[in-house]
Amino acid sequence: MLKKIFWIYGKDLREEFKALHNLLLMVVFALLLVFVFSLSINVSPTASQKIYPVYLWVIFLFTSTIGLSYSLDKERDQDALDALLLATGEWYSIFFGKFLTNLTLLCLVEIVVVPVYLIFLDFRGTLNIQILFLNLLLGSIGLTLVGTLLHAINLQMNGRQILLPILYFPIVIPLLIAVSQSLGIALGNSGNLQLWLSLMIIYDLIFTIIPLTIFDFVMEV
Amino acid sequence: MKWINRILLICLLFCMVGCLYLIFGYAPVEKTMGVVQKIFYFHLSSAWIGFFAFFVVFISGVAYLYTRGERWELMALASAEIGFVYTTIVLITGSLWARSIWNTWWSWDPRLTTTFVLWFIYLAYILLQGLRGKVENRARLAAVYGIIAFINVPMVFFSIRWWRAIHPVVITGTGFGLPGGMLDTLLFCLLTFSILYLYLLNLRYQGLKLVREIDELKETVNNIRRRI
Repeated sequence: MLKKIFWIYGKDLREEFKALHNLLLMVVFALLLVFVFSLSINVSPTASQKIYPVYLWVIFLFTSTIGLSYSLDKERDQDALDALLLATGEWYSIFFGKFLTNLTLLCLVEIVVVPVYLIFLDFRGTLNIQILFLNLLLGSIGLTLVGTLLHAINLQMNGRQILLPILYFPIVIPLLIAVSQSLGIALGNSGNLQLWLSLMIIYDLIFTIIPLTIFDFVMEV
Repeated sequence: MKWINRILLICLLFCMVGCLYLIFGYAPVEKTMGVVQKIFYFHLSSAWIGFFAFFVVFISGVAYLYTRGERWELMALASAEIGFVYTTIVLITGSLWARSIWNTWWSWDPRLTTTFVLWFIYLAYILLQGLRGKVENRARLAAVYGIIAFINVPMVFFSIRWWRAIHPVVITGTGFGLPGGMLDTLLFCLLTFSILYLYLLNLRYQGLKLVREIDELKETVNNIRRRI
């Protein structure tokens, strides 16, 4: 199973890095969001520290809503889903392959956006790199797992783009709270780090198990 | 199934009258909150229906995925619609109560926020069911979404609870140590609302089934027309 997942992952990455169109669009979109948010929040430095983490994750939430559908959409546009299924034999390998692709894309976007965001908003505190790293990783995993699953549901429904956030946002609320709180801690706010990290881990685990059992039902033709 | 509903309706009529009497005649008036506290009976009973309906959506979703019976699909949708209406009632009655007791229409208290998220999830579920597309497809995906959403709700509750616990908590648990008269009334209200839920569920289920039958008939007529 792992081999098949990495096989799909490798195929997608090769395809992605040949043209970079999707990644590029996601990065530009996220940077624009950073720009718009930086313009719109104009608060004193002490208050801003409380607000920054939330906005950063809202930016990633929007980016993942818009950007992550591509990896599954393109397979359907070219009628390649059946071929993929024939090649792998099981839907969940396809799901986790796509998940890894999406995760990589989101992480690359984050690598570009986070420094820019901190510069634009003139962050001057001490940054805890380890917590920041953990936060970005666990948060992206959760966001991508749920995002990929709901993208698949939307795709199968032939739903319009607007339906996706309606399905997506209520489900990611616990994750959003956890990531923004723990990011706040990484930026120097006080709080209970262990609690939020464990909530993120539990969330990620649950949404790893759910697709394993349920993804067959989603993609069933 | 129709006779069940008739019996339920008769029970409901008696219970509703009894319920109103108990609330306004029998239950003592709360000392500090006064008459506003009476909202609580409707509020809690509606919340009970809202959460229970959500549980039914989850169970019907699982049952649908395993049996593929149309019955489960319609049951889930009917339950979601009722749940949505009652969650709306919970939010509105809660807001009315909060305005006079907490002096604010809304507070980001864990219970309120969770209910609000639940309201959005119901809405998403109903919207998903209302899309055009093949019926089986829609039913299956809605069932999947119902299951995901249900598993998610406890996490929503705890995350919000921890989040608020870090900030200064303005409003702590209101702590209902209910005296006897109030407790009896509340229990009777819960019973009445449960009957109401069953009645509405049955009614809506029949309605949805009729809609489905009409759609099928239309389809048949169209097919025949095309052949002619």
